[in-house]
Amino acid sequence: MVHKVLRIVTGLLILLLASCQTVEPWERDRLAQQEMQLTPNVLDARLSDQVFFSKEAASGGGATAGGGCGCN
Amino acid sequence: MTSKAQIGPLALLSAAALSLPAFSASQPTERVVSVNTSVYQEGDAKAAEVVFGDLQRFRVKTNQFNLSAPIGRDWSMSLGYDNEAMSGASPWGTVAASDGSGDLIMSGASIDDSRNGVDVNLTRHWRGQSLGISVGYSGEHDYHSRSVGLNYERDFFKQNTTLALSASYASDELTPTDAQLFQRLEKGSKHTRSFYASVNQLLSPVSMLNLGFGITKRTGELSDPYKLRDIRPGKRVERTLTASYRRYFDWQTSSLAVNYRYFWDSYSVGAHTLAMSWMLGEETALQWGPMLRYYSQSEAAFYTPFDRYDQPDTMAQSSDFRLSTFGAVSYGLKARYRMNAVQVSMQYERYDSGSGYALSSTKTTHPGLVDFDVVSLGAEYRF
Amino acid sequence: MVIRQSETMNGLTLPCSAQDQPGQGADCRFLFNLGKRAFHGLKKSVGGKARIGFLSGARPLMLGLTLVCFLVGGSALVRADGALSPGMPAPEFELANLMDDTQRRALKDYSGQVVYLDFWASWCGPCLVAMPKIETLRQTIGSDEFVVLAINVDRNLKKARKFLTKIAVGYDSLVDEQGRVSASYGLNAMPSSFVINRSGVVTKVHEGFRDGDEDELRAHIKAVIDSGA
Repeated sequence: MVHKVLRIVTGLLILLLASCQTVEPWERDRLAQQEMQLTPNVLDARLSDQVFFSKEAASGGGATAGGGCGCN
Repeated sequence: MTSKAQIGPLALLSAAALSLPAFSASQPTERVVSVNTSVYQEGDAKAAEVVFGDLQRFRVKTNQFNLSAPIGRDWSMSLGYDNEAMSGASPWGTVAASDGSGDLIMSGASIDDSRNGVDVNLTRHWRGQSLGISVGYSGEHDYHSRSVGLNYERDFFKQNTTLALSASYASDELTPTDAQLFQRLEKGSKHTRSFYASVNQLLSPVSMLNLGFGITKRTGELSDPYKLRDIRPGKRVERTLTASYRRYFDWQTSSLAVNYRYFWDSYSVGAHTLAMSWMLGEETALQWGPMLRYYSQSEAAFYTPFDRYDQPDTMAQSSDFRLSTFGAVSYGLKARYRMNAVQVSMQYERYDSGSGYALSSTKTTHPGLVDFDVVSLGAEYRF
Repeated sequence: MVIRQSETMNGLTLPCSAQDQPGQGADCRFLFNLGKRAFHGLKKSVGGKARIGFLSGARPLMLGLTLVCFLVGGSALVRADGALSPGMPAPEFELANLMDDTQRRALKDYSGQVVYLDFWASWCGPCLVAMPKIETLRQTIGSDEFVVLAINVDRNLKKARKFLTKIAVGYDSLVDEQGRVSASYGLNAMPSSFVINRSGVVTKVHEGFRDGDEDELRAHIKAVIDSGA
């Protein structure tokens, strides 16, 4: 399963990167928008992480694993 | 110097983004204070599937606060605090039902507890890179967690590529309530070590991709002390692979966010998560949009639909619904309104879970699977 | 409910299959072995010995990520050779005024003066924080031989104009919508500013704008003015 997922992700990656171009500093206006960030809102992300961590087996996929609760 | 020039320039901006992209290692420009309050409510357990205990499940009220600010030329900090007030019953165990699945034993009286968490981060910035340290504490009357983390970011190729590395360690202590009364574990500890690496790549002036890999090792008392029969291995190694994509569209100045995560661990759980959201009106005062999330997991190797008393205590088992095969779909709506330096937001999300949503097939549906609603309100002030 | 086979992990016996499904035994054994290898690999890496166990699990991904960096960054590496540095002549340009597009300005109009050229955008936080500071710089130097000129790179000029009407600065902003002048100056960051002497030669390239940068710039500009170059 792991290798299958890795292969799919690598394949998608190559496809996406085929259209890659260097983005100059003065072209970054749209990328600077709030919703274009990985974490547009710190509090929303923290709340989501906490909710899903306590109800599902999977967790993580972000920077930290700390701040545990007695919920899983 | 005219009086106009004395007004903080950032406070005059309305709809535009206020700082350079957060994925780069640059020092943030402004101070931001944000608050959020939310209510999480689970649907009641079904009477036909409960043999004992309260049907009313969890209700959690959460209040959150965060302050982020640059310090001097080279530093930045952030301080976060959150408080949760929880009430409601939760599953204690599962007994065999006539159809091969389980029936729930719920906790009798409602649990009433609160949790407080604090998180502090200090980051040093250089040209093109940054190094930060975080310290956190989270406490409930029966559970305390202390954590420390390091994170490093580095930009390459005119910030087109950003590498981020982070490592963290958490030490938890549990002292379950009514331990002697219910013959529970009296005291236990848990340690979590985590490492995460990601690469962020700008694909075009309107799109970017982020790929990450994480590994977490948990050791110590991993069994749930509040369950009637829950025996888990004392070590759990978890791995995640994540891919996030962002795309901006000039149509309605909207943006699409797609996040995918594959999770697999030494309990043999495998899970896929796909979350998408669409926000319209990025360059207007009002932004709003839908979100959708799909989740599917396969059960742990030692999962059992109901508690097994015929197995010895040295054999791992758990009838916790969170280790069963199930899937979940959640959907919701987000809206934000910006007025100069203030922004208010509202969000609603509905979560439905069931074995039918899962990618893997399973013969039984755990009666403890939850459905819930979350409503949250937030505000942000930049100065 | 048939328990097919079991393995031990950390002293606990793990039932391999809670449900009677064919083929699951083989998957189970594979997963347990994988789990065991991952655990032993981690144990080795934590113990400070050969980290091969941990890395081999993530090797394909690490290679993939490294490949990503080189593939997409390669073109940027080549482009970086064109970056402007002190001692090089400042590229010529002629652009319209942001607030009055009938007015046009060229760099050669300022020959004989020391020029502070600042590239900014309304979506760039540090650029906006810098503007009042640059205005202060302009006023405190207060020399006829020194002029500040800004180049705005917004695609949407309305926002840039709106910003300038609220923050009054005593220097002109020109428009470089297509980004051609920005490209000729080889900007590596936003904001970027250049100090250009009387002969049109770049004497300083300044990237970003942080607390205290205005002092450093003031000292440099005064030195250039005094040097007569």
